[in-house]
Amino acid sequence: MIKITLLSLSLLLTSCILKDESPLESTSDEVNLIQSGDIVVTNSANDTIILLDSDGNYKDVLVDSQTDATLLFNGLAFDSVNEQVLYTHDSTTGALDAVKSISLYDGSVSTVISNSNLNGTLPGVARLTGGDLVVLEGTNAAEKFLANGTRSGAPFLTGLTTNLADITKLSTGGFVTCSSGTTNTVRTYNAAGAVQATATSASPLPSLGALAATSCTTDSTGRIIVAYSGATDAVRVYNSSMSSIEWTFTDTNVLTTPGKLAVRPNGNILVLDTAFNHIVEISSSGALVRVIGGAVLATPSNMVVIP
Amino acid sequence: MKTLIILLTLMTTQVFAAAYIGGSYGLASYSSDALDKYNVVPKGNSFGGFFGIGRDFVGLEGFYQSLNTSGKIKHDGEKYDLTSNAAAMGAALRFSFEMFYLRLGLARYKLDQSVDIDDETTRRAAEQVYDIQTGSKNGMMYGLGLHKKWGSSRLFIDYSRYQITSMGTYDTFSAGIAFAIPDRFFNVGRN
Repeated sequence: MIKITLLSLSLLLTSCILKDESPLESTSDEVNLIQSGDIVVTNSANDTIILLDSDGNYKDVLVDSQTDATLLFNGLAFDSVNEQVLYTHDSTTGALDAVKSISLYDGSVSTVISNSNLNGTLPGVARLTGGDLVVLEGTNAAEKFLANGTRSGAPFLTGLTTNLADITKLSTGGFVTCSSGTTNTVRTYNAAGAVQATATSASPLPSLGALAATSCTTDSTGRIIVAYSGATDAVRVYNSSMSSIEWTFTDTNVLTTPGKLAVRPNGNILVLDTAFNHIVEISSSGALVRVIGGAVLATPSNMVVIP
Repeated sequence: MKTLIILLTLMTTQVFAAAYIGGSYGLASYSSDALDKYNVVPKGNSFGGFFGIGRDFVGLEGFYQSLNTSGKIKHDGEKYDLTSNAAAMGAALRFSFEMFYLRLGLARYKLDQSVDIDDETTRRAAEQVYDIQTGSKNGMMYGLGLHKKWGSSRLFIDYSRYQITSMGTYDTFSAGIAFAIPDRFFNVGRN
């Protein structure tokens, strides 16, 4: 009897301790300060980078340079290779130019690239799918840095369309750029920097007239999305080769000064209005959804949605 | 601490005339609310020893127990290794009867927990999700076992729970052997 009791107890305890379970999946998003769907916006009026939730409500200040008015944060992008937010730390004195990162976990800032060749204005930054970092530099050039931080090219590209405004990585490995120049304003490139396609506000038809492209991005289907500002203020969506237009959104009640674009995980498109100081949300088919973020934006200059 | 010193002093007098020493080896698992949420149960082994002084059926002992467990987690779509090790040191009361014994005590735990993730941001997030900690913590231990006299020694199987305050619990199931010095502790009273 004693032996049976001992054996039973031993088997019971051993089976409890050795019981195997399949682990359930956890995500960093559960504890990260910056979570999927959140919106990161740079405010040029008060030199801050702020964090909004997916409904445009204020969450936190990520970067605040009010003590140094010479700083600009024009370039902003999500680095899906290293899961962080990238921004250009652009000093008008030229001494502190760098690309920095913001940790999704706690919002801490680190320097990604600090290079003497980054000494002009830095209007855009993108981490390509292959890991290379492309930084728009000056009015018509781009620098490239390999994943290990080494500069590639001298510089990577020159003679881009003047008055560069934005750059976004493409899922094909390349990138799209746009500029406020009135010709060849939107171009797609492969990873090596060769032009793949070109569009302007006037071509392909129907023409919007000669407008400055203030932002260009892409969505999960590969469509190219461009914000135009000028006589007509619009968001226009092209097919992936920019050979045809899918739709154009205009609504002067909510969008009179289109700024930067971002795409939500559900495909909806967000566009900043730098005069109204709010964010206009447009469905993936071009219908107005809502206006958000109006309470805390101060001349917003860039925006990214955390995928 | 003063109480412990007084008790130990008393036990070294004639009031408590027998000492005993032993060791064990067995299986261990670790559980906590954070790990339970994701069905993560690190498992491994445990070994340790104890030295005590006692009379009749009551003993006071110091113990050391090494608790080494590991398991898999699935985080951000990838599988990683989670290690949860601890060393427990403390003092316990032992109540010995003919066939079984009970132990109850206080312990100081030195924790060495980690997740094997290279990316710092992901690792820090996972550490928070799974409440990964290092450093020292207080807690208690309690256990029960069945023992049988074998010559001048006792063989035993033991189930013990090492409970770390506001954190988690190690469960151990082990087997071991204990000796009395001299061979009186096992022969007095119901021992």
